[in-house]
Amino acid sequence: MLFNSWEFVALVAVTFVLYYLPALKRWQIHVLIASSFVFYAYHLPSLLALLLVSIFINATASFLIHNSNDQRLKRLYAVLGVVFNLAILGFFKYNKLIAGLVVSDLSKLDGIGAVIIALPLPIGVSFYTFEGITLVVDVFRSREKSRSYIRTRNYLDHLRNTCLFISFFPHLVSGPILKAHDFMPQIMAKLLKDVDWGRVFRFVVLGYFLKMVIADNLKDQTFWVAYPFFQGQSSIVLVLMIFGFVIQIYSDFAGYSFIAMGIAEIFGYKLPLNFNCPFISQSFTELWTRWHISLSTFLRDYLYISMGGNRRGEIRTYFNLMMTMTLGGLWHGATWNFGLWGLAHGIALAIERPFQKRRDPNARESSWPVKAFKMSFITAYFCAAAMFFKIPEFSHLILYVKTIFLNWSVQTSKTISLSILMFSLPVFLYHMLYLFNRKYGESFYKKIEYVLFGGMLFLILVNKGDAGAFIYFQF
Amino acid sequence: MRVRLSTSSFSHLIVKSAAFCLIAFAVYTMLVIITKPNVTVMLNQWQGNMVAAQDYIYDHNDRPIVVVGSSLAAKIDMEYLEPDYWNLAFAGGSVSTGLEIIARSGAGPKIVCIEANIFRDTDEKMIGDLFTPVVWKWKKYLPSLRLRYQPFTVAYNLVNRLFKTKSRLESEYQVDPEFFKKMLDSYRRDYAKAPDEREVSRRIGVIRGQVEKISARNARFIFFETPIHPGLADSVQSSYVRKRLMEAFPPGAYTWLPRPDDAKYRTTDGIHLTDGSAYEFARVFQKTVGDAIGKSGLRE
Repeated sequence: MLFNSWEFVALVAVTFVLYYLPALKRWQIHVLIASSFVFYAYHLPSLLALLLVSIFINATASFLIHNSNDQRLKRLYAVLGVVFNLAILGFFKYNKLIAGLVVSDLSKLDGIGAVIIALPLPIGVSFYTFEGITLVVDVFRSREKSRSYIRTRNYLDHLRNTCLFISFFPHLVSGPILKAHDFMPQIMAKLLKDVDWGRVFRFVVLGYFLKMVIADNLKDQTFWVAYPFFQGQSSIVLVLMIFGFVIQIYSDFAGYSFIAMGIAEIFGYKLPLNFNCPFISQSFTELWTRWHISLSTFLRDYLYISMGGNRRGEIRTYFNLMMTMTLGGLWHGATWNFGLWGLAHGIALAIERPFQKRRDPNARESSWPVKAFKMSFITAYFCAAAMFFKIPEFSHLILYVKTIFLNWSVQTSKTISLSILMFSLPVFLYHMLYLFNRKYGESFYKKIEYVLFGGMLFLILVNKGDAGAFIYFQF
Repeated sequence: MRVRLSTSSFSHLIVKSAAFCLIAFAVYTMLVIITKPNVTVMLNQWQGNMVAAQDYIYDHNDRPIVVVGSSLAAKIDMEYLEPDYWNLAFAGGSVSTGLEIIARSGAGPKIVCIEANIFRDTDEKMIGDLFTPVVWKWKKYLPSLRLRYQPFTVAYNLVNRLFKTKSRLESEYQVDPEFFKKMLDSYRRDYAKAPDEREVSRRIGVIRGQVEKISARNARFIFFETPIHPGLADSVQSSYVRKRLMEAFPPGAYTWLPRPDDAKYRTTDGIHLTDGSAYEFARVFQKTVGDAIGKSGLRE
């Protein structure tokens, strides 16, 4: 069910009414769970089976960890829980990749092998398996039961809470990836009077603007990146299209995340910020505190630190950085281009690390031209790496780069180039506004805020693009 | 149940933003109605298709001659056609999409020219977007809701007029030989197979229903083919589509224009005409339609 569909609006409206009905006050969590199942199963009910199995296994593993006093048993349950989640992911998402390592021609596979690689990827599996891991690991890591995220002795209550944590519909299919330590403590009765409608409004309008006006319009220009269409485009257009693709994916994904945050607020739940103006980053380290924050913090807390982080010497730190980012890339898709995308960022982080360490914390802030250069460099690198994302076939990627150097004399398409610049402008202004507010405070912004949101509403009404699926649904 | 909403949360922001949006919409709508911005360039194919359809639905559904078809017939640009014509063929579109637009808009053309090169399903998404219940009728009186007048498109056209470009005929597309060969080889492979018989029968059934509906408004139908590469014109697929359509809409009951001389025209990829060839074909096509109308006594 798409966020930009009438069915979704109807689902939210009905859930809202039932959720705050006084007669159903005791059943608020159940109402949300029921709506989440309707949301998830809307197009393919059979997918619900896997989600339910995942919820059950994660709830049981975490409950056993919480109630066991034997450290070895706790560890065993934690390992089993994590392995189970990774097995689901491996089985459904990486079956072709793994089979490709063993069998050179997958079309020759038959029997059970052919059936397995033909299985469709269950929507949202990359997100909810990671959330199952956070639950199991967070409970294992909490040393005292009183500080645990399991607030009940009753297994069924815990199962119910886990059901909500994993299946909560605003975030279910494209994140943000929730951490148990953030979400579980919020599970309690909610009151209508506590809903911050200002926050709801801001998140929902901004989210739909980014998705419907920016991302949906940009996708019709970045379409020409596909082979063989790019071969007839000028060098300038080829470069602009990659830039436009990055803005598109930001607007699409950040838009989705903001909508999810706004919808969650209606029901009294706060989801973590997933994008925080990433294009003003002055370093790769900063970039990953601003882009897909829920994934980068997951990778830091549950993978990088588990691998030893930076506590095992410099060489090991660099290895951990690159491996974490490569695996983070592969999380996006089961093909090597995603792994290369992650590795490109891992290498950038590793190269940057010695310079970050040598920075004098008392040094004066850089001048604005230097800051602007750093921001441009980080964004340019991010765009270059994004080619691995957009052009999955390696030979096409090489040809694309070659064509950039060859097609200088080809006439530049004004339509594509101006469209990309026009639709990227609001994102640029949004980032500039963030910097302005950070430097001068928000008093000016507060005066014009209604103009900005009114303008966004107006453009949603009169300038939306051809509706497309959210990009991250495919992950 | 009385709901008390906190003033700090359900704030003036929402009310003021909504008010600003409504005022902006009203002002923009008045501007569009009064100034009628000159928008000739669309930003992408989808928008181009939707604008052609909306222009027909709201402003030009009194055109007596309408063309329906796929991207092949869409190459016959409106610039090349006389004022009596309207082209409802779309890139990525189909005959049944165009017929559905005519049927739902309530239009009553005298002649409908049906491209007989390609079979495709109705673009249900496009039809759904064009005819959203209730809202679609408002767009006749609120042109700012139509895709032609999207603010970014209007702004682009204003900027575009500052930089004069050659007309499409002057800047004839230079076909890249390697690209052309690649595409032609690909089409040769596709056109060597007949389409699925059940799908063809189903689609013909849909078209027949649409033709009957529009016939009730006293429309007549003319079938034609656009020129394609000679190596594809008599391929298995082309011959099959031609045969099935002629069986469903026989020349005795419907008018079929003579097949074009494919060798006289150039294509960019084997099936889509270059701009120069599309212009030439448009001249021939309109003459042939005119002759057909005269011969069959369709002209009143």
